Amino acid sequence: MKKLFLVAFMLAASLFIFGACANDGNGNADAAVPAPGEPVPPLPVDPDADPIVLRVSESLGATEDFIRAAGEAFTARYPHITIEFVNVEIGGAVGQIEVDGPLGIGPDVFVAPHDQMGALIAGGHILPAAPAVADWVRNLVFESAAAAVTFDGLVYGFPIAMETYALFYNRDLIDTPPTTFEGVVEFSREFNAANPGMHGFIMDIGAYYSIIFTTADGNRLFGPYGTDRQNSNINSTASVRGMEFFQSLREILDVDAGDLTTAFADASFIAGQAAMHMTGPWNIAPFTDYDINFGVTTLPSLPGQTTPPASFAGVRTVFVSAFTEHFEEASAFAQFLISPEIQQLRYQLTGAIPSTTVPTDNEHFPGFFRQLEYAFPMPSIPEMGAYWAAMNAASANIWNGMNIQEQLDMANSAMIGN
Amino acid sequence: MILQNDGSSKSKVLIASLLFMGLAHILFFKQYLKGAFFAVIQVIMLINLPGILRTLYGMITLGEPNPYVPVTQRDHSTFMLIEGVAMLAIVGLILVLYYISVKSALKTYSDYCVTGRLTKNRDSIKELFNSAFPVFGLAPSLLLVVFFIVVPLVFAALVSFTNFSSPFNLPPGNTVDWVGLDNYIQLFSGETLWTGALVRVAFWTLAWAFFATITCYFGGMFMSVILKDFHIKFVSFFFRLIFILPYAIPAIISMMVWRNLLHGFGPVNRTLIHFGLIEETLPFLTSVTFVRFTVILVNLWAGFPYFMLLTMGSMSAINSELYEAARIDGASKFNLFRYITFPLVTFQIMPLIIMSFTHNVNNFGAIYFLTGGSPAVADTPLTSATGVDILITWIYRLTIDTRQYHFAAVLAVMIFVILAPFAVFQFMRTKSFKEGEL
Repeated sequence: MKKLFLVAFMLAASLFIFGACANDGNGNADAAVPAPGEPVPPLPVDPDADPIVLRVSESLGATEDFIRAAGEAFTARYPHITIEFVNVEIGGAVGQIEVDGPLGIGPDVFVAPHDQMGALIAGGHILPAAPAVADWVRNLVFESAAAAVTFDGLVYGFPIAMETYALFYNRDLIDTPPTTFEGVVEFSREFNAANPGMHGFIMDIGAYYSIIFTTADGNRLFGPYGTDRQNSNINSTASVRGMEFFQSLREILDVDAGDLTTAFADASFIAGQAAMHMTGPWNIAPFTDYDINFGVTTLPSLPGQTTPPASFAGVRTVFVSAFTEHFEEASAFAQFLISPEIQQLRYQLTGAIPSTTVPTDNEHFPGFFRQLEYAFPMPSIPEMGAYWAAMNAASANIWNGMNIQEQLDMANSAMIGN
Repeated sequence: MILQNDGSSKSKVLIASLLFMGLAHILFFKQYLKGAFFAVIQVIMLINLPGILRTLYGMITLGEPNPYVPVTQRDHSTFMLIEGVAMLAIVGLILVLYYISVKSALKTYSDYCVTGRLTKNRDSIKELFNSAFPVFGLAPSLLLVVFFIVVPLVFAALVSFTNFSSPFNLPPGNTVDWVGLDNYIQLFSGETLWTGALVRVAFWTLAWAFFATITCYFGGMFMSVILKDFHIKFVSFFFRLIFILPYAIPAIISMMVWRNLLHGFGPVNRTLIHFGLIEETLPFLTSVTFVRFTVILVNLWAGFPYFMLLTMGSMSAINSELYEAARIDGASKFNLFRYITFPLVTFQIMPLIIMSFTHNVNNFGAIYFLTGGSPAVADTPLTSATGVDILITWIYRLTIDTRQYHFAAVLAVMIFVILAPFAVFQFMRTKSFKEGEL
């Protein structure tokens, strides 16, 4: 237990240093930018102003409750602005704005997944935020969330919730999870030998997860910003080296790729047959229901690396429509939604992981918060379309022992064509 | 206008009717209603001519790339293509009407030459209801067939001559271009991994359809012979009820249950290991060769009841005197089956066996829901065809997963080429065709 404490402390310390560096990197937060904690935006509060109605679209359920609650809080501050909720499910928001926006009947503010931002920019449906607002967003949210809404150096959206995967470990089977993958291999060797039929480490080897092995030394899918349409980097030297290590994991998890599915990995962990499992926040509830005594921490680092590998992150993002007649007010509301105070409210209502660290009583969230510092947003360029099918197959084949370079070359040409 | 009734004005009528639809009817025959009907159609067509030409031209160019305007204002190639095909169908229908109008003018004139008097409006309407009634009766269904079957089919076939695919040619962001036979060359030339995948999938499709049909047929027949041998009625009825169950469960559900049962660590493997029948787990769903047997066996489980019912039906139609005579001659049970039941039943059911073969060529559920995306083979990352994909499941992956619509269209054309002969053969065997009623 002491060890765990130490590790946690070290992680927190490194996090602190890392965060401080990130802030320095961004540099001169000038005086016009309010501090991240401060719920911007200093809109003039003018009781005589004409009443304005802002239409905000979100999915039904807890997210609707959140928009309504946040809307009331916003109106309390700016009495002349009313927030009206309209239901557009998150998956259909972009299709709807493409049609309704130009007609002038679309919502002023809408929520969409970050990976559709490219399409929104290309279609001229959203506009970049003012520099001061952009700086404020960058200072507030996780680095990966800021990267997800940045295009060509400009910030186009307001990250409101995030999702990625981390390392789940069964406390009954392992006290302190290793921080390196070498440690995972070492532990699993002993564990597997001592417990026939059980696995020290288990993962779904699909493309969503296997990507982490390609991320050593800053090697990123489609470049550091996920926008390089010429180079997928999936077959670069670093990727091949990483996938060689991925292939070598077969030694401690000798299961055919076809059998190593999400369902199988989840079931093994639930049955107490696996000590460590790589999965996401959606599994917190089911694992808790099954009374698994588990913890969540960052992913173990790859060989030769000192930080956790970069997992894929999905970012739920608030966008301001380019067609709104009240751009300033809509923008202010979007900022209001991601301010820490309101994110805290959102966390209470929806239970989803916010885009910034908020005080939480969920013992598993800090693990995700730490992993999110290293996550990188799923690229949103059109070439990503073929990624899933191609890389699912390539990962499976590599896991089953096929030639790594050949498989990754094929995945590369499936994505960028040739 | 005066017409000679000796046939010498035929060219005059022909020219007038060719010049403008319905002109001859109005000028020469005083059939104002009919003439006006034709004329109105031509006028509508002429008014819309610029639009028609623009649509047809759009089908040729498929739009120009224009990355600097919002997506909604860019040329949408696939819409342009399908509008062009629909427009071609409309123009074709108008040309048919044109042909009808010219033909009807010439016929009216030749009637005039014989009878010496013009057909009156009333008569022509009466004639319309008599001779042309079937045409009007069939017109709505013809329109439906054209616009809901022919147009989409032609569109799909035309896509195989374009580069409609991710990532560079997906509307509305980007445009699609005609590429001629490039897709066919890439798939059939043997120079790329695609050819290997195509050959593998095509042969496996045929092998799968053959074995899936044969196993189900013999499985069903075997069960029905056995059931027939049960002389206790209740037992026979009871088992018939049980055997029909697999057929009554939706394939998507039973296939997914099988998928769980046959998983590497699933109940089947565990049971076999528990009883010491095997030492290592069997790769039911992970090794290509194994999976091919698995899908055929599971399909046998799901498909034999259909043939069991069929063979039971046709077996009860066999005259029992045949069996009695054979028995008196000392035929064994096997010989009864071999020389009486089997030939008679097979002869009767042959058309249904062929239909079942074509059904199995397109049996998406049996493959897709049982195997999901595995097992991957060496070329799967590029082609997305797994080791047990048949053409139809490969098409699904190419369109839904990787958006390679151009290759999917080529495969769709291939399926059509494979199956069309069966459909024609089947149709020609039907009684109504043979007896010349069609």
